[in-house]
Amino acid sequence: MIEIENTFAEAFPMKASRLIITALNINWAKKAAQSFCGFATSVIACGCEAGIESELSQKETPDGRPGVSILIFSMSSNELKKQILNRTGQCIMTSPTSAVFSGNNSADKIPLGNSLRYFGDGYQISKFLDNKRFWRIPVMDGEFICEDFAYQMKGIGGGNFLVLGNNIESVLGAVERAVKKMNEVKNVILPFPGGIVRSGSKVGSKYKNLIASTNFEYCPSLRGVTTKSKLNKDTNCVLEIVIDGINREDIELAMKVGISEILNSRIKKGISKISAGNYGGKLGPYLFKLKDLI
Amino acid sequence: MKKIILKAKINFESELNLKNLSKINFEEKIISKINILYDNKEFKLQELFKIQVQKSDKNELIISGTNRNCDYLGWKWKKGTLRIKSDVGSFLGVQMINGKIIAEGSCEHHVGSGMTGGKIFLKSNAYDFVGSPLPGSKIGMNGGLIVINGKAGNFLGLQMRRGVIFVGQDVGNNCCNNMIAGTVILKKSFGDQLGLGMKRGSIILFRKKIKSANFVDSGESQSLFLSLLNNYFLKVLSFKPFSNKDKFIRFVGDIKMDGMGEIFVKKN
Repeated sequence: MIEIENTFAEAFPMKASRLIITALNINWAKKAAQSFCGFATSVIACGCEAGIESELSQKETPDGRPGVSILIFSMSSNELKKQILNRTGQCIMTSPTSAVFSGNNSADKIPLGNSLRYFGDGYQISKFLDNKRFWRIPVMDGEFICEDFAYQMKGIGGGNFLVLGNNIESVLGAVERAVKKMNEVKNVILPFPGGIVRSGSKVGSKYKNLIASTNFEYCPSLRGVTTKSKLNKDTNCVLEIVIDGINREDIELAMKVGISEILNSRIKKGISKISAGNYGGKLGPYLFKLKDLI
Repeated sequence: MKKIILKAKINFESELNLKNLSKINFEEKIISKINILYDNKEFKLQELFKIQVQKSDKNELIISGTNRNCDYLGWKWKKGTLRIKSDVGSFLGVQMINGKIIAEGSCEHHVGSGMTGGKIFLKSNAYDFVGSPLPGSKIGMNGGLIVINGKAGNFLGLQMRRGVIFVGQDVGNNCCNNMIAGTVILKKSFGDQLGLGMKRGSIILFRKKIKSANFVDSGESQSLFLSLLNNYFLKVLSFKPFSNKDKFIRFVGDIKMDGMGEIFVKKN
């Protein structure tokens, strides 16, 4: 029997944007997207959190080629702008056959082609179609097409749940199955490697310059060292899934899908509890109570 | 939402200025207050047209019985659909801002001159200066879409700055002269001096090869912009002007003006 702890995940508001990356085939679209989303696991040190939201068919992209949709989250508008511009310039524009378009609309503009066009050194061409401006920047495999602006929207970061168990094989297997299902939910991303994080953090540290440090309550090796450990003798491993999303409902759905997958799986051996990370309700206004989700 | 139907009571033998028809606000009852100029005399709209107002799921103005003397229809048009069931005079959709104009007959000169947005669909032909500047103005079409199923006359896209023009049949001389930017698609043949003085912009051709010394062959092009354009047409008009797999030769010019315009010619 897997226990659902009577606790909640605590999430906070973020700034978000969606980009559509296309390429000659899905393989190269994914490569560009993965490059963009590399080193974008946590705002603690990456500047943004990003991930692939879904794959898109030829009918779903502006240029009729296969593509992927990615979501990017950051704590401030300025940081979001900086991260999108730098990553698009260095990771998408450099990727063969790629093109990039905005995947959402709002009044808050984020310069994309509007800034990247200068790479064209005066040979760039502007095209205005359907009330949108596109830039054609000459590159060595032809042209890099880039929409003038991406757009900022509201997002929520930090939805999460923890899976506690007896051994790493059992916990990792359960979490992997959950991630696979959660990846099917639209409007959310799981920004950590493979959607899973092992180094859960708490706010602050005994060292002055650190804004985050290890979540000692869930570290098995600190059981007995600290009196605040939340792990019993049989719990030797904890893994976390962090979810960023566009709205509360989709984060709830993703959490529900992930937890249900673990609860309903035939393979439950070695899994003891599902919990969630929070800061006592002091960090963010979005509280996801685990018992309410199931 | 309203459908307003106007039927001409007389045959217009002198110039009829329909500029004031664009004052029709589908939300308010101001139709009866609109005055129009016929033969330089002011008339109430109902004196020259039979007016019918019906409830509808979209705002639409339908006008029939017009002829080549009826100018300035859709002037600064910005809301709803204007459907013209007959021929129409010059300056159709001039300085249009938004909305849609559908003309089932032919049009005279200056269709869409100075328009900045919206869509004009002509099921038949148009004469000269489509998407060109108004007399005395320096900049032509500045946004929006013009689709002509029939033929178009001379000076199409003159000094055009933005937007898209599609012509299904032949086009006259001096097409896209001094073009600043924008996109023109010509499905059939075109006259002399295409793209003369072109600074930027794109022309897409299907029939005739370029022989002008003003343009240089830049080789085969598989610009992604063409796919983007194709998808735009599919979304707006439910057809693609060409296949995404079609190959094009790209010409660049007008080199005598240091221009960076481009002409795509479909490879057979």
